[in-house]
Amino acid sequence: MGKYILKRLLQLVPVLFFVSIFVFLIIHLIPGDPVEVMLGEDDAAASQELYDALRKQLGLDAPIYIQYVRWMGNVLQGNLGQSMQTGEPVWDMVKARYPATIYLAFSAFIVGILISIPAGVIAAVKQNTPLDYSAMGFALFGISVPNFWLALLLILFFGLYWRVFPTMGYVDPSVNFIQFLWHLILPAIVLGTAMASSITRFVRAEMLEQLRLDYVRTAKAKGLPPRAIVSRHVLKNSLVAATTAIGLQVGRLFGGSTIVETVFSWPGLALLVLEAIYARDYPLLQGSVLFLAFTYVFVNLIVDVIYHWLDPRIQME
Amino acid sequence: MKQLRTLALILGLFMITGSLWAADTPQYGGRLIFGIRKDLSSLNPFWRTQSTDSYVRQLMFEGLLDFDLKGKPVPALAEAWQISSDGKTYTFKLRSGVKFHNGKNMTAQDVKWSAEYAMNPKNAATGLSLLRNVESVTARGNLIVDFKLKGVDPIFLNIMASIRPFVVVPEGSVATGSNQRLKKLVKAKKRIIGFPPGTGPFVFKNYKRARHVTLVRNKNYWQKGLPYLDELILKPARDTQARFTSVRAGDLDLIERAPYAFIKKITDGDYPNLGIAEAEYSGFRRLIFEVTKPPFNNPKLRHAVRYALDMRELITAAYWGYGVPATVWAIPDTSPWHIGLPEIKRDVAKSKALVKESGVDPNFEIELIARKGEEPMMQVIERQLTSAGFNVKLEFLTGGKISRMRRSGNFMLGFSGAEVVKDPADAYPFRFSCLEGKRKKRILNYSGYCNPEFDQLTDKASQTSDKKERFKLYDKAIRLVHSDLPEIPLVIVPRYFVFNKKVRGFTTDDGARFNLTTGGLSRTWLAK
Repeated sequence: MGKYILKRLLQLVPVLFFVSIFVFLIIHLIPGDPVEVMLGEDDAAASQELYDALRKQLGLDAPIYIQYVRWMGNVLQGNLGQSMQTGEPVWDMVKARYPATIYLAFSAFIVGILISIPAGVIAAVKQNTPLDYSAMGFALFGISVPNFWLALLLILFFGLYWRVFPTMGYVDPSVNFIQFLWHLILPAIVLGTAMASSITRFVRAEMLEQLRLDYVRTAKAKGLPPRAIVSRHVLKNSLVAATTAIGLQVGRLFGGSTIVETVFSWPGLALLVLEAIYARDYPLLQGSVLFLAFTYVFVNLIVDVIYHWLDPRIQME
Repeated sequence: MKQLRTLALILGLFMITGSLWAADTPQYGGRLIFGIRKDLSSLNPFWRTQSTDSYVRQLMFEGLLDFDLKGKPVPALAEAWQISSDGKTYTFKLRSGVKFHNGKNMTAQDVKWSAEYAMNPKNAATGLSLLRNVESVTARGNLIVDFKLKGVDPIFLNIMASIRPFVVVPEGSVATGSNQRLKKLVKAKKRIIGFPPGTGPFVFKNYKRARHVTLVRNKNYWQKGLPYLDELILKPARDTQARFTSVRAGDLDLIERAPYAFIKKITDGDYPNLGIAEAEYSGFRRLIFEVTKPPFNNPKLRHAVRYALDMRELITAAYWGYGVPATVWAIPDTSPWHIGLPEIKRDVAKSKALVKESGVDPNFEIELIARKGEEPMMQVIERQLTSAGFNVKLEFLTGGKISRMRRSGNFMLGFSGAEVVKDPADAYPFRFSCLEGKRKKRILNYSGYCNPEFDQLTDKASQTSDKKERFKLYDKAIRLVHSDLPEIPLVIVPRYFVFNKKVRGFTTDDGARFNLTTGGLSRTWLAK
């Protein structure tokens, strides 16, 4: 196992290298001039000298490949650079925002799992019954409904009409844990619903596949109660395949929560990426996207390890 | 018995009046939570970044003068001023007893140092270009400062009333030197809190990136008794709809840039717990022609486009009915400088006749560019032009790309916004002068327009301080520009602040500022 993890960690290096090139190129292809954004359009135009000096100071006057080599050189030394807008080290900014993203992603994951696995199991066991249709209806709803719409709907009902949860904001858990949870619930439900929808369908499909296999028939013939067959055997086997889908969804939870973070003013990494795009803050954008890519790849590594833990027959190669 | 009844009546009336009075009497204390559109990027008052930063800085920093709610320069840190007979020296008498947030008394030397800091090109301060006409600043004693100008400047008081040229900070409180701004931009840590103390009504307490900035009451504020609030928390909430829902739910007390869609509901009383403050002439919208190249080097064709547009419909369709047609460049009709040009109504027949007269192939295609996010407005304009017989290719681009196209003159027709100005000298000379239009990289005269007669008039206006004479000259110059039509003024639209009913006393000006010497958050209080 240790050898496998080490091997996978080494594989991270070329993956992140290609991601870094891709990210760098994409970011520099976005139209817009960071210096103009920094100075304000009129000031940038009014003082060409300042504009040119700032471009030079920030290294933006060099050819793009030189800029990449310089940036990569710094990254390899553990320096993600400084934000053009605020002058703060990118690493400090990413580090400051990361906990909020982790809390949100983890809570959404819990919400997603709590909804999707029971719903998928019930839908499979009670196939073609109203319970199955309801579960599948929910899955269809969750996939079809845009995040921002669900977010606004929940804010309207739970925040405005019933005043159960706050409509926006973030409280640090170390400051007030109860308030933190209160602020977390709505964004976690929105993000978790999208995840739950696709996993429910996956779990149901896998469950149906397993329920048709010989070992289930044998278990029934032995007189094992249906509940025990499902919980002890079928569910575990179904989850092996579902884990892959869950892993991919977890990766998306980290990077794909931009809309949810924006609507709920949740100060996470995805909102930081959005702000960096608006400001054409290249170092911040490159640093935060690279970090998100690392998280995505790392989460998938964990999923593979869990995969082996769920089914030891799977070879770790 | 009768006497008792009369006494009871008087007492009752007294109690009702008293309670009404109490309801409208400012109360001290409380914490106001204000939802702002963006997170902050810098609070250093000498650096220009984004408008939100500038609005927040006005809570902590002040200049010598300020604008009142009507846009007139009024005393702020200077309680009075005098202009020399040649119009070249402005003497400001400072208020005594003004304290910085660090407890130090403000002196004339601090004013001189702050102005000179902004005027030093090595510091690359945002006020550098605004103060280019200042020759020297002299401190006389503790409370007198002279600004000697290189030439007469009729809008110098307007410049001094803005926060952009400079604010007063303690002498030596910001590092000076070659390229220090650039070095700081690249190297400084936590730049956001690396700023000097000010004199404003609120004092910085703390900042958490993307979460909030907290300001507290300046107990030594020179306007005795102000501000009323103990604490002010500004929270970034980027989504307009969510921001509005939060103020309805009571999670925020006040928001800026409320969605137009809900304004009528609030004024109709559908949301009885909400109130509104209006910045009536907050945004100016226009269409810019590139006039040095075909097809819009033909003035008849420019007027043909003008007659194809219906500003009233634009306001209804794109701004929910809020706004007024703009007849001149960015000066609202309440301004003493407003030139009474008539509103031009849509006239398709006239538009088609002008196209014919222009001799341009009627099947030519107008390439119209606009920023992403301006879709509602542009779709209306596109439909109006198309229905008048024009072929239109509408393209939405990023701000940076549009900026480059305008600066190089590489466009045909572009949609743009601008701030409303208080004096024509703030806009016309550099937006339409030949010098600006002929630059290789156009700074603000994007159309490339040049009319020497216009330049003569505005040059002459810039040399005179006589208001009547200036008005006459600008009247002619403005009429000339609007006859040549390098740009079509479209509409002036408002911006709204929405607050819950416990928020009292909040007012704003046409600039939609958060704070003014005569209004804004320094005079806002919370009803208990």
